[in-house]
Amino acid sequence: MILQLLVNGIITGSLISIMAIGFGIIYSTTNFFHIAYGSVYVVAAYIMHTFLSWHFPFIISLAMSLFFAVVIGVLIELLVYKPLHKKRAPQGIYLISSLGVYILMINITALIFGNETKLLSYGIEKSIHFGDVILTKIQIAQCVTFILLSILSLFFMHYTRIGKTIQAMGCNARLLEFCGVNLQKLRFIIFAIGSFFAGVASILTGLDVGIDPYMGMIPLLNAVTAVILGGIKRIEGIIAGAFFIGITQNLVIGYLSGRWESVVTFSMLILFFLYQSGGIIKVKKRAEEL
Amino acid sequence: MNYIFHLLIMIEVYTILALSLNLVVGYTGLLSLSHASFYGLGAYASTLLMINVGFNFFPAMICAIIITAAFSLCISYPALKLRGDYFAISSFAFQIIIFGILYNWVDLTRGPYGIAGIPRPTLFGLKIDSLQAFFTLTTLITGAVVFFKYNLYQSPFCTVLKAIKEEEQAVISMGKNVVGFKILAFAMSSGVAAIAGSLYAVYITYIDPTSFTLDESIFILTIVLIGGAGNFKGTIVGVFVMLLIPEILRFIGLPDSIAHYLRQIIYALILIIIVRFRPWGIAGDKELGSV
Amino acid sequence: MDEVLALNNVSKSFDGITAVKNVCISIKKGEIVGLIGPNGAGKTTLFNLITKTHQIKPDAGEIRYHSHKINGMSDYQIARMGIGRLFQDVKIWGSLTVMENLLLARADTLKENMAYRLLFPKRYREIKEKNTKEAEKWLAFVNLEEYKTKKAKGLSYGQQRLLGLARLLCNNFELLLLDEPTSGINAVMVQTILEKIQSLAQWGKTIFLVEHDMDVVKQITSRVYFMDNGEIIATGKPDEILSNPLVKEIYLGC
Repeated sequence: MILQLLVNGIITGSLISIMAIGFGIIYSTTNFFHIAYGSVYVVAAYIMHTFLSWHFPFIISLAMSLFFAVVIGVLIELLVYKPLHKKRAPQGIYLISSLGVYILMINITALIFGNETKLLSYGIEKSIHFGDVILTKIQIAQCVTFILLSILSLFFMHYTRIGKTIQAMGCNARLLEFCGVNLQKLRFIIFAIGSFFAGVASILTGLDVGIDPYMGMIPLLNAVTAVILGGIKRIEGIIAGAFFIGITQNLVIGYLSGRWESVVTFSMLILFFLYQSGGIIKVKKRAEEL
Repeated sequence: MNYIFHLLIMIEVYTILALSLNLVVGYTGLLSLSHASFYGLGAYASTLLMINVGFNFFPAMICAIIITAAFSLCISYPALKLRGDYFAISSFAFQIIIFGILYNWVDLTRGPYGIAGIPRPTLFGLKIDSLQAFFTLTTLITGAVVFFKYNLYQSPFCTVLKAIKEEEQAVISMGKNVVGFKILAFAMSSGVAAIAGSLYAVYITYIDPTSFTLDESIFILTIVLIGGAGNFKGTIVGVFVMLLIPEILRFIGLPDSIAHYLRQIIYALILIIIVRFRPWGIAGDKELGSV
Repeated sequence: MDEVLALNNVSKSFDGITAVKNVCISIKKGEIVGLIGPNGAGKTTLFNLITKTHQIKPDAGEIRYHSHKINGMSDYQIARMGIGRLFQDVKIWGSLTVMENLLLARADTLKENMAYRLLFPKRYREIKEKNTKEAEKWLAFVNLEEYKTKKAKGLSYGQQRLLGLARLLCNNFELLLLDEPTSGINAVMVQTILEKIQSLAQWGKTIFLVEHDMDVVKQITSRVYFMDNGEIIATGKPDEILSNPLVKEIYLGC
């Protein structure tokens, strides 16, 4: 059983990683908790569902869903956060606005589609046996997508001009502005990338377990936990954090009960804060000091 | 008439909640998203003490205040030494944890079924059973809380909190234990939320975890923001505005399923618009406001 | 004479960049000592190390205050030992009144204790009266009496500096670390502030200040440390240091 749990943990970890990489890119550069990220996740799945119900082919529905996820992500930045940048609003204001956008979008979704669980794929998936371990096709797709996306994002962050600029923005946004970089344009790109990741994670989850309007909160908090546990700036760290959470969650499910999954995850976050008190602050304060 | 009394009692319960949250959000400048969890902890703690241990209402409420204040340390102790936004996110996580515990620890809390048949309080051998009597009780308690809070807000303790919100470094440089002040303010705020929780439990005589969700936390936060962070009168205005919106929707006669979502949508829009255009609240003082 | 502040070989680096390197400083009671050097020399960082502002601690070396080792204490405990700091950007509490600013700065913490207030109302009132008296005294010292009930953010920049200074005095700090007390203030106000600082030293307060204006340095300090690239390069009487060729080269660019 332990092997199956570990494999399940890796699959959960892959999903959390996808979500967390997107969240991490946004968080490390803008420095506020983009809670509306969770609603982009939900809406992407419902767009997929809508297109499928209009009998579009799978691939087109997927493409449209990801496209709209990106559009919505950028729109949130444009309509909600951009005016706040102009006012140089404090972090708390961003967080509250973001929360507002989250509730707004979730409830509009629920108003239109109802709050019962809907399925993205019909029929039971065929499972594949590797010795004792059972996998479904979707789970394999989740892993493969994760591997592709993580390689892509590592390459993007380390070897492309935009990726490097995004990393630099995480360190010191003001300085970049002085160097003549258009921060607003960069932010749009960041939100586009992040929302794309949310869309991918959402559809991969939806295909497996179905969708409902409240599906976004737990993945969002998992992603937040992964980003904080893994160290905000580095994608490798975020992935490690995500896998740690994924595996722990599945061990909890296996040996304790599925009900305690989220309680355990977020207790880890708080315990981590308890352990870390002081550790993170040093890195953050540096820029002001020098 | 009963409807009016019910509404007034709920307004009083939320006045307690909003005033206590305002101490943290408005005066200390910490964004807490877990107020409903303290409200719930208070409700469950006093209920369980009354049902399982056989406490009377008032001792149960006082124990609930202490227990809830102690729980607040789970967030404030680790998170306050870190960055400001980590406090918000820990409180967020704490809200999910508490909801998870209330929902899943079936042996203790009866989980999703909730606890029914909570005894009405007795005072000097007098059972407070009628709506009018209950209204009197909540009014007295709310009055005491309002009086306490009003005095608190005028006190040097609160001046320190305001100063922390404005220039934390300067407060530290005067030799004040800023983290200690914040922990204390947060514990006080949580403890007062437990009063509201206890009142709610004995008033409705039934509690279940769905009354203490993240949505509820955000609802209370919205009240505070409407009223203006750090504003006393504004908070009370906020309570009236926010509690009358659903009643107005009810009079329009929308079906329940739509009304629920519509209410949430309205709250969310209020939240977004307020922080964007009037971060100091509708009735707030521009100088003090903003989070 | 009594040594108030002593730094022995204090070093600090951030991610491999050395900000403060092997700094040794010794200040005696009643002295006015200056700390000068070009921008980015590490002067403010050195102050931050002493008061542990932003939680930064020295990587090596020790800081002693009246022979008590203070690096290792938490930020507010250091302040309670008697080290006061005037920040470069003053950091007054703008939404509070001038009087509230001063009352808040008073050192005793009983006044902020809610339980004490309820349990011992009489003692509480006594403390309150004493604090008010003390605050009024220092308000008079910096000539801000007429603004007593005004919001502090309505004051001019120079008056805010004075209020910052009064706040330090209200707390009865013994060692005052002043970070550019005269920058951005008109000449008349500068003279007022300097007079106040000098009379403080006469009353036995010890003053350590960062200053860019060399006239000010010459006028009030008895000794200066010259800092560049995180190191103390020279120390001595202000005239000597300012005529030191090395200092001239780095500082004045000639």
